[in-house]
Amino acid sequence: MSPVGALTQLDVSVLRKTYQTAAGETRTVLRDLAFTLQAGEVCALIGPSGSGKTTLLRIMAGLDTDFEGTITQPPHQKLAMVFQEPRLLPWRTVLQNIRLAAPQADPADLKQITDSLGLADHLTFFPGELSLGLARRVSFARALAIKPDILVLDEPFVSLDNSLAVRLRDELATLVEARHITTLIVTHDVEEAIYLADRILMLSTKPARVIAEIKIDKPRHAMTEAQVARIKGEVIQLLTKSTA
Amino acid sequence: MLRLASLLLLFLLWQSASIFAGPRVVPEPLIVLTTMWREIQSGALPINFGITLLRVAASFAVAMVLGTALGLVMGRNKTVDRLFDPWLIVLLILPALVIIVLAYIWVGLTEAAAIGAVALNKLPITTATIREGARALDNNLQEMAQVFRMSFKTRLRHVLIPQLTPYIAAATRAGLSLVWKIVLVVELLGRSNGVGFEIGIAFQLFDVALLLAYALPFVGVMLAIETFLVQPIERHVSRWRPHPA
Repeated sequence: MSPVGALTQLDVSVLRKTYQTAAGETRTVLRDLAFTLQAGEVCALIGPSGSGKTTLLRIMAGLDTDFEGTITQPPHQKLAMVFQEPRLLPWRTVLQNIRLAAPQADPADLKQITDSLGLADHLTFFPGELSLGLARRVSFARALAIKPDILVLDEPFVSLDNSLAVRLRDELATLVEARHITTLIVTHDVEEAIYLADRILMLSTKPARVIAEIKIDKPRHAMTEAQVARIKGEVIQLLTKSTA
Repeated sequence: MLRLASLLLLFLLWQSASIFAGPRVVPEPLIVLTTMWREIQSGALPINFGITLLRVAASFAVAMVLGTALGLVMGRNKTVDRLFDPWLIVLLILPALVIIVLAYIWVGLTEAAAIGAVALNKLPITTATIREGARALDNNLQEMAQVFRMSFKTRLRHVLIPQLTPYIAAATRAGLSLVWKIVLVVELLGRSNGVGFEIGIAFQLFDVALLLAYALPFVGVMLAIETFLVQPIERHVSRWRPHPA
């Protein structure tokens, strides 16, 4: 459990992130994009496709250091990432995949994670023998196994059928809540964002910056369908305004 | 079954060649076998055989380790690749004999020169093969390893080497047959023992039976290494593939 206080917040401030196209043009992907994640908060990032959401996550995870700006996180914080694709080592079993990322993990904790994600019967399988849904669960388990303080997820439910996506979303929400992990989830599914997040940040089209912020005060269990629909309408209105 | 028939056919061809060409040029199989037995009993064959095998193992190991390391670096780093690529091409083109003679002249007629010369002949081929593998590495897995802060050892053993396995296997296959051929030349030119040295003597005496008595067991051993060592290892490391290629 992470202690509460100013020290545990994560500040993201990207002044400018550009890339060179094959033709040699310089394109700006992100500009003046800034937000703060509070400890234990679940934040959803939604925006039009191609708005640089994945780029932002890669910067936060330290995979892309070629940008102007700063990412300030408290010292000794562990960040885990769930990529769009499961990115498992095909030559290692499910359990080995989790273990290799989290060599110091406590076996009891691992068991709790894999059990709650329904992986108990698949620990000796190789990734090639898993469905996409199961492989995604393994990548969740791997991220949670390192006991992260911060978890970033890049459209983790994309290309799953709807009922499976909803089930996986529930499991993830329960785990993240129980473990008080500061979470940033990128999605293009508004309902998913409303359901999972305490706060929704909306990004503009390229160059991306935060154009609106919606706080969701009600706990997700207490939300009625009408309330979800109202927030969804609000979000979609804001999004269409930004792209118009 | 077909393999056995193929070997039998080869045997028959040999026997008939011996009849046509005369036993001096092509001694019949039985004579070669008796010569082999005589050499085994005198202890000469096992000793020379062992020495040659050691040289093969040493130069193969040196070439594989250095070649893999260099290939990895060249495949991942453009600057290093540009820097060493011309050297690689020079080494690839340079005839084995030139490298061997130069090694003996510069280093002297020593064991180190012999093993080094063989390794240097094999090295560029390993490097070129592994470099292809390093270029084809999956960047997604690399990033995953980076995000989860996997140690260098873990990355090497569980992320890098498994991806390079097909390339390492190809380099091993090509390497074993090449190395043992070159080791014999090295022994012929500058060593006073080993299978190559004995073959040199057989050449001077024009003793074809002796020559074959030394050459054939080696073919058998290399075949055994490929069948009982290389192939099982390859099967073991590719067990995760749902459908073996």
